[in-house]
Amino acid sequence: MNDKKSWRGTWQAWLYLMPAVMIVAVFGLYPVIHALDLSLHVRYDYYRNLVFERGLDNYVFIVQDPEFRLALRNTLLLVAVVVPVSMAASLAIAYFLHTRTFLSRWVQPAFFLPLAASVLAAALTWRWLFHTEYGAANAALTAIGLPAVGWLTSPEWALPSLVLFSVWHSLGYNILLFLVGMQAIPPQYDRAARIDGASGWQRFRRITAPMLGPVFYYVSIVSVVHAFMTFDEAFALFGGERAGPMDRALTIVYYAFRKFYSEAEYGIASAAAYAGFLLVFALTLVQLKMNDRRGR
Amino acid sequence: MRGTDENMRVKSFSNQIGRRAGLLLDAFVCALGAAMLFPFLWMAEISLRSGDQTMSPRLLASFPLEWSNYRIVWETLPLARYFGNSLLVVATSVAFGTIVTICAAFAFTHFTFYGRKILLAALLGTLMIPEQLLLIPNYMTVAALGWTDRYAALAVPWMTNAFAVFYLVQVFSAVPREYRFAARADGAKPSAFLWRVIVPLSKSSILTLALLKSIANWNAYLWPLIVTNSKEMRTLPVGLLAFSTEAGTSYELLMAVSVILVVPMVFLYFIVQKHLVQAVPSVENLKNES
Repeated sequence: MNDKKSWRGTWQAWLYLMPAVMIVAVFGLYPVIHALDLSLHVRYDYYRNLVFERGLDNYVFIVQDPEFRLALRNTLLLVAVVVPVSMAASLAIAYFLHTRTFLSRWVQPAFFLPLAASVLAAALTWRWLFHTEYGAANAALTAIGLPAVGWLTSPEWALPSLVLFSVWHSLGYNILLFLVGMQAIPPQYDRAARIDGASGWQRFRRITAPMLGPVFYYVSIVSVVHAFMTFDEAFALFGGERAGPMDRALTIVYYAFRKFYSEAEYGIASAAAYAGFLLVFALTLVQLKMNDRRGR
Repeated sequence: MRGTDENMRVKSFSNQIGRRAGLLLDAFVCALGAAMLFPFLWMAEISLRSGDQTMSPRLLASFPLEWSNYRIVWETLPLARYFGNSLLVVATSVAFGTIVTICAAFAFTHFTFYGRKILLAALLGTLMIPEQLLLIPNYMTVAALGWTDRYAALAVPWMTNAFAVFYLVQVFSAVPREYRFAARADGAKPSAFLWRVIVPLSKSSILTLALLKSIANWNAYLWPLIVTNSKEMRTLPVGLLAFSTEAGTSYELLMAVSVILVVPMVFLYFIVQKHLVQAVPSVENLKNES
């Protein structure tokens, strides 16, 4: 783009930009500021649009609220388990689909189906699979001699069930990204290494993995943000007022949603959502730093 | 030539890990694929059971298949209405959203203009914002606009976002600049250049974007749940959510609605699939662009 800036070009460009800029400004940029403001509302009358007092009380409240602490703990656990498990599994599956080309055409669709299917519909099916008495999960467990488990009804299994479902649901997208990344690697490298007698693992370790660096890094960031903001999966799986038995599958966004939707506590809900956002933002910055330090 | 190349790769991979281990790996991944698929098969299977058979954990518990479940839900729920709402919202939102995004990305790649830097920075700033943070303030905006319980509330807010714009900016920048010089030398207007050259060249990427938007929009249930009150305005997922609390033990009916919700997007996905693989953005380019 070597052209000089001109008023004519500016006029034309803004004409093209206007619709998108308006939508992003009203529904993407303004709400970020609005949410911050809402989170600082301490005494307010939403119906008359009056704010009597602003302050940090909402943040103080959530920090002291045992429910929010539970939500934070659950969310961190989800991120710590779902992200590495899903990434490792999808990387392995993608590498398989990439190398065993003759089979992959037939197996691929099975892994991509959850990508297109509604979380809600999938979760309703999983509810039935997880059913304590009639579910296939327990039928399988008892068939191999293990005791049946209250997947969705016992407090200690609520979070593991959510983890299982989240991993299953996130695999398709990660596999897709990894697969595309692998296909973008020029095959000459692999061929040259093979001529030099490198083993399958060596080629993966020395060629595929490093060349996949940027994709890996992108997937890790997207996965962390997604896991941190888990709501759809949890709400669809447990539904309703409580996030599973004794709230054991409560996440930060679930907490914010409940404060907003059921209790009409807009200030507290916004504070919780903002706290979640700031935490995940900090996490992303750490990931960025780590990637920079690795040097490339 | 290509065929032999593929063969060489496959053969050599098998040689490396040994034939038996290779077959074992194949079997394992096939089993894993079956496990991934299992919930969907289960869903379809239960949707065809008769009401008194849903409790049975056995596969294929009931013959003959009860196709009438689909007729029952279609008639007792206003499912046609829900389906129509979803279709209308996705079609308008994706069509307008894609056009709007194309135009914005074109402005960035084609013109040099005042305000470009600020605008890019503002867009980049929203790139990291999770959708969940926007829910409450957007609900209030929609209420203030008087859009509650209207199609506008369902279709407009998520039409486009920074990610979509950046994605197409990156795709459009890959079009060689000689094309632009040639178009200008021929006296083509920017709009002609956009719709006749850039868009056809970027077809795969645009289709990918539209597909991802369609899937997200069709499956969204939280936002439609928040901004709709009346039964007439429910989209299919919200209808399913409401039905899931009403259905009680009629799981076969619940699964029938689920199948109706899942099938259209899966179908769409497989139609567009061959374009997908050519069109996923690379982070490197995205970073360079900004």
